[in-house]
Order: sequence, then C-alpha cells, then structure tokens
Amino acid sequence: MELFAYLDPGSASALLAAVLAGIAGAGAAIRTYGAKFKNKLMFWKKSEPAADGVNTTASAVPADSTDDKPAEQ
Amino acid sequence: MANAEPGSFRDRDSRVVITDDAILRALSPEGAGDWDALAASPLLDTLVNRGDLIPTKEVDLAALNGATDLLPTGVTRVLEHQRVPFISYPYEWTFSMLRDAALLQLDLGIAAVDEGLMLKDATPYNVQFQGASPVFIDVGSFEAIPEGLPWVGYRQFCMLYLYPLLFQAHKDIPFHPWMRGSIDGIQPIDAIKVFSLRDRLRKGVFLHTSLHARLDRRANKSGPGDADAPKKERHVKPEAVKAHMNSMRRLVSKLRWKTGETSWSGYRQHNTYSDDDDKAKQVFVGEVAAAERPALTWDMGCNDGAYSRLAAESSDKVVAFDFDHATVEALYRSLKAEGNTKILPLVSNLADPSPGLGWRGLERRTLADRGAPDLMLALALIHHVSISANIPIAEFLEWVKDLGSTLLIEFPKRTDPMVRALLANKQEGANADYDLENFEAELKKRFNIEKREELPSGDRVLYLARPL
Repeated sequence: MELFAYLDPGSASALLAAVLAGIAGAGAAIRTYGAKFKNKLMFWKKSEPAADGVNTTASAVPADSTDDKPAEQ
Repeated sequence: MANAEPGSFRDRDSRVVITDDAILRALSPEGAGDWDALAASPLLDTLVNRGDLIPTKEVDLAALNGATDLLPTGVTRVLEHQRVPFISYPYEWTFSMLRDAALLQLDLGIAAVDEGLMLKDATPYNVQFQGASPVFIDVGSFEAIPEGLPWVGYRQFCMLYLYPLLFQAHKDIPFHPWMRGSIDGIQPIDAIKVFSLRDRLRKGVFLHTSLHARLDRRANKSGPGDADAPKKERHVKPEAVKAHMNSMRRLVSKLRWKTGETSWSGYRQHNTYSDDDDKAKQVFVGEVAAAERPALTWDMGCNDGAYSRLAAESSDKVVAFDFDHATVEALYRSLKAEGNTKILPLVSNLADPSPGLGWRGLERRTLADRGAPDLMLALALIHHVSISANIPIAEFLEWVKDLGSTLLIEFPKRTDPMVRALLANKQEGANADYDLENFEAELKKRFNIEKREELPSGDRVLYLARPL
C-alpha cells in the first residue's frame, strides 16, 4: 500500500481504514448478493399475488423488500 | 492586488487567492488534471445545482496578476469561486451543523467514487454554511481515484468530525473548546480517554476510537520505522472505500444530541420583558433595518432569533450569535426546516470570541477579521457583557466603534429585574460604570445617537448610534 496523498493518513489509521474498507465492502457485497440469493430462494413470494390474485397487499410487503433498501437507511 | 489566503497552504496542488473582487483558486499542473476530471464528469453540475458545491468557473491565468509562483510546481490554471458571505468555523457550529457538514463530506466522497474520483481530505474547514445550508468549498479536494488506497481522509474525518460528534452525542461534552484548542482535531488516543467501558460498547466507539487508539499507541511505540523497508502491499478497491464511507454515513446519521433536541434554553421563555416592551422593540428594530438595508447584520445574543429574522427582512445576510449551544441548535433546526439561506446561526461568546488559530495564527481568522457588520444588534446584551463578564462599558463601545458598525443597542437600567438579578450576588456598588448616564456619555464619545426610545416599562432604553 503506497501512500502519496498530501495528507499523511497515519500508518495506524491507514491500516485500520484498509481493514474497515474490507469489512464494509464484504458487508455491502453480502447485502447485495444476499438479497438477490434470498429473492431467488423465495421465488414464490413474487408470484404469490398473481397466483391467488386476492391478497395483494399482504404478500407484497415483505420482509425482503426491507432487506433491499439501500444500506444508508 | 492578489493575496494568497494564509489558511490554504497545506495542499501543494491548490491554493486560494483573494483579490479585491474575487475568490480565486490557483491550480498546479497536477491540480489542473484533477479539475479536468471533475469538470468532465456529470458530478460537478449535479453538486453545484444541488447547492452542495460552491459555484466555480475557470478564468484566465491573468486574474492572478502575475502571482504564478504560489505552488511548487507552478500554476497552470485558475478557478473563480462564488464568495461565501461570512466564513464560519466548526468550533462556532452547533451539533447538527457539524453533523450536516459531516454528512455532506461523506455524500460527496461517496458520489465521487462513482465518477472515478475521491476526496483527498476530510476536514470541516472545507465546508461553509450559507444560512442553514452547508456547502463544500474546496473544489481542489477532488482528485482522480488513487490506485489501491484506502480512504485517505479517514483519520482526519475521525479527528475533526466523528470524535467531536461522539463527545456531544454520548457524553454531552461540548466539542467547541476541543476544536478551538487544536486545529487538527482530537487524537484517537485522547478521544478514547473520554469514553467509559460502557460507552465503548456503543456503535462506532470501539472500532473508530478504541481500536484506532490501540493501533496508534502501537505505531507510536514502534517509532517511525525504516524508510527503506519494503512496504506491505495492500490493494483496496474503490467499491470497498465507498462501502467504508457508507458505513460511516450510517453511523453519523444516527448520532443524536438529546439535550439539543429536547431543550429550548432560549431566553425568550424565561425573559423578564413585558409584551409592550417586546412590541416596541420589534417596531424599532424593523424600522432601523428597513432604513439601513445592511449587507451584513450581526445579532449578538440572538436567543431564539426573533430579531435576527426581523433584521433579515431588510438585510442581505444576518449572522446570529449566542453563547448557548442548545439555543443556537434549536435556531439552526428551525432555519434548516424552513430552508433559510439568509441567517447563519453561530455559537459564540462575545466575551471570548474566536481567536486566530494555526500557523502564524492566520490559518483561521478572528471573528472581527472575517468581515465587520454594517449593522450590529445588541439587544438585551450589554448587562451580560458588563455585569456578568465584567467588560467595561467603554471598552465594549470602543470595540464596536473599531468595527465601524452602526449600533442598535438596548440598555437595561439598574432598575430592570434582570439587571438586579445579575447584581444580586455582587457587592454593593459593584460595576459602577453600569449606569445610564455613564453609558450615554461613553456612547456619545464614540457615536452619533440618531434615535433614542424608552421602552414602555421604563426600565430599558433603545439607541441607534452611528460611529463618529
């Protein structure tokens, strides 16, 4: 890791920043791919409204739609 | 005449220059390359249109009047920025102002990564407020994303944004003296001493403070190391840097200062004026402001900002000062809710105003050096200045006269209930200069009294005075 910034990030801080970036990056990937994987696993949730055509609101709210929200919120 | 801004020397690729009529930024060849990358991306227009970035345009090199040796590698490009009406510093902001500045810093950093750019630092001195709206002013902070680096501004963000916010949110410790005490902010090894074992379990405290301090101590113990030793290769992807900033954003956006949210410690709720006095004051202030039409008004001791708002109807800009953090916080929240860009609320104690800080004491300017007001409101203030802070009446008036400001001042007589309360714990005859006759005599030595009005209660007198 070569640092050429005008600001000295501090060796300990740069190491911590690299580790935290790794953790946060992995977390973001898990959130993105985890949500996709979950959607695939629970494929019937999507087709449910069309299947019964009645209980639309109950089946469309969903646990996975909250998982899909952007990480910021 | 072109003068390099004394607070803008740290980045060798970008330097702010102030001329008589413009705020310029000189760029080195490297800085110009980074500017080209920003200008070529859709980010520049988006941020400027959203009010997140100061409007900036390229101007001719000649604008520098030949001052092209400001940067070690020379100056090849010049930008002109829109002027910020009044410069303020984080040690004058409220908790929510610092948090909003932190969120802006992070939002810009996150958006930059998507365009192959990154912010090279993370300091609140790169953010200014236009009324209650934060704007990023350091266009020179954007650079092409450095290959493989982690978030370069992480340490600076912790020291200048995160720790001050954590102090206020978790410990109710005002961050202002810490920020004023060190221009670089709070070191991790100092920050951790403030937190109890229980605090270290709170979100963000362990990772960003406890662990950070531990690593810092270890690095300090092992010394500077061997400059020729091979460096460890650690390649951090831009997406991971973005995820790091996103995770910091989640942490910062959830920080709350409970005292600031629940209390309105404003004087207005506990004041001793009658409604008639209040109405008469409103008419007086409204008439003076309408006649003066000042470009800049300072409201010293603004409380809930009622008179700042009145003055703002006829002023271009108003800076509203009060020493009570919770009061200014409440004012900021209400101004922010209404999208006010005219009134800038600041935490400041008139008896101990912001000094010059940093290299040669010039990096951060004193309050008075940042532009004296055309009109100063000093309503329900002089008794606190004179009796509580023991500043002689004559010296206060001399200070205003030196600023060259027109003064709208209220003098509560010694019969006023608040004055009596302030004098109650003092010895008989204390603050002898606090007397209506003496006040008027000292005022007349320095100002022309253009208007004088006794309020209906008979305890207070208003003056409009212009420096001789």
